[in-house]
Amino acid sequence: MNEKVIAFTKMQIWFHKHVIHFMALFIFTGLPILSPAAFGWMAWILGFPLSAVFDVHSQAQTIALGLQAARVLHWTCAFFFTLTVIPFALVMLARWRDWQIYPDGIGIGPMKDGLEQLKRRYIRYTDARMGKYNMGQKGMAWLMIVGVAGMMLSGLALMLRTQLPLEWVGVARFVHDLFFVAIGVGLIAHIYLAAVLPLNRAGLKAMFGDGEIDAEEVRHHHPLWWEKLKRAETRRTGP
Amino acid sequence: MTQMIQCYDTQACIRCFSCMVNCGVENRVRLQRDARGTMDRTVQQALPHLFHLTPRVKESGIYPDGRRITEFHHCNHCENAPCKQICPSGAITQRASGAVVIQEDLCIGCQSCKDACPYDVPTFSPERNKTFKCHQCYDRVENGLKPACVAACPTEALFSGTREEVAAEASKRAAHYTKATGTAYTVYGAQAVNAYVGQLGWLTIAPEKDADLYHLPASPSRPLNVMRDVVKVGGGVAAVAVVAGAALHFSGWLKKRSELVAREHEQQQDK
Repeated sequence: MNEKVIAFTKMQIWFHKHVIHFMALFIFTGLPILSPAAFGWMAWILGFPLSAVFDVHSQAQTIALGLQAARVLHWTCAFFFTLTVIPFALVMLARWRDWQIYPDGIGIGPMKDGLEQLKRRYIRYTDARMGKYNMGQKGMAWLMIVGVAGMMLSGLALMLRTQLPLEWVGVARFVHDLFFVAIGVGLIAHIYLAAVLPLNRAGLKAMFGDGEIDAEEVRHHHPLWWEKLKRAETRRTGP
Repeated sequence: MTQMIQCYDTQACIRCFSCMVNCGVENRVRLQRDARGTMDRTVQQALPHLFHLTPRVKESGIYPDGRRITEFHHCNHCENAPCKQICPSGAITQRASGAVVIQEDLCIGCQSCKDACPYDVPTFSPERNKTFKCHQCYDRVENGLKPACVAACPTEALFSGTREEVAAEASKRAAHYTKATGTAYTVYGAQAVNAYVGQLGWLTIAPEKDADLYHLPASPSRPLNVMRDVVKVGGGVAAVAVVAGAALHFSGWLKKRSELVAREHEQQQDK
């Protein structure tokens, strides 16, 4: 049997699965409010079945009803998403020293090296010297951490807007929209690189499976991570 | 229909508040007309759905140069109506007469219009979960009547008509006041104020030096709203670019993959 390495814990797998369906709902209910001209049809999809129940006489009223439903769904999802984030955040923050998403170095040199490794892996399709995550994946992780925190705080301010000064609400709305766009664009790249492009199949199977990757895969494609694991093993068991 | 606008003359106003009272009364009469309720007795409460004009009394200067300023807070019915542009449900429309109107049945109470309005006009009613503002009595205007506030004004400090008529009268009054008082008077809103709001459907004659006191900003805007529009467009462009980039990358990967498979096949055949 192949030796296995734990890539993702059960908590990480659980949270990631929930984030997927929450993100889908947030995007579907948020886009019609952000850009009604382009995504008003989503509000119509929500409003059409409800128009049978409520007193609606025109397409414009159907869309308005759908937008109202989108707002209610958005807030409801936000509540349950918060319930999902809290335990995950507590568990992850308790082990913040073990995170693998810190930069390998600060400055132009490490950044150039990170870009070079990305080029080797994704443009030349050769082996690269990287840890568990490459520079792009680390960037995406930090975007999600900062972005989700920003969305939650600004979303809360928008929910409580009648209690806050209008200037604060304006800032909250801008922050909410800015991070929505940033996360949305990031997600397109993330889904392509993680699920469509076959280069990261092992990681995809681990994230949606038992969380384990073949040790050979790690040794071959993530040499810096392999070295870190070996060092940790040596510290545990002795030389 | 010709564009119909109105003007508020701060110099002729005697602060009787008849305009405010009549606005409230007219909206209550509308409820009766639409069989949506009976006449309320009071006009003192600033009920958002029935009350669209708000005088804001403030004092300016220090004794003996102190004076009272009554800022008349109302919708300016902007040519470029930022509230209309941001409204996600399309509840805010601009009628042929120029009046910017919130259609109550389409308003979802998201208060986006409050975020866009540089004059802090739309008022949200938590009881009704809808936002309200002056609709320039478009039902009266489009039937040949004057707006209720204009009809009530005893001194013609409020007057209305076509844009040409009102602008000409306002200009004449401002020139007269300037000559009589030695203080420069301006007609705010007759020309485009800026690109964010454009021309206004409600002009104001006021001393230039008191523009800030009457809340007549030289460049009304909500910078965060403008930046938000940039982010929206930029985000759309970025999303398309990422999808295109991904498609290009994937086709490159497929090509490399087929070359690799062909090489391996050749090597196997050689063996």
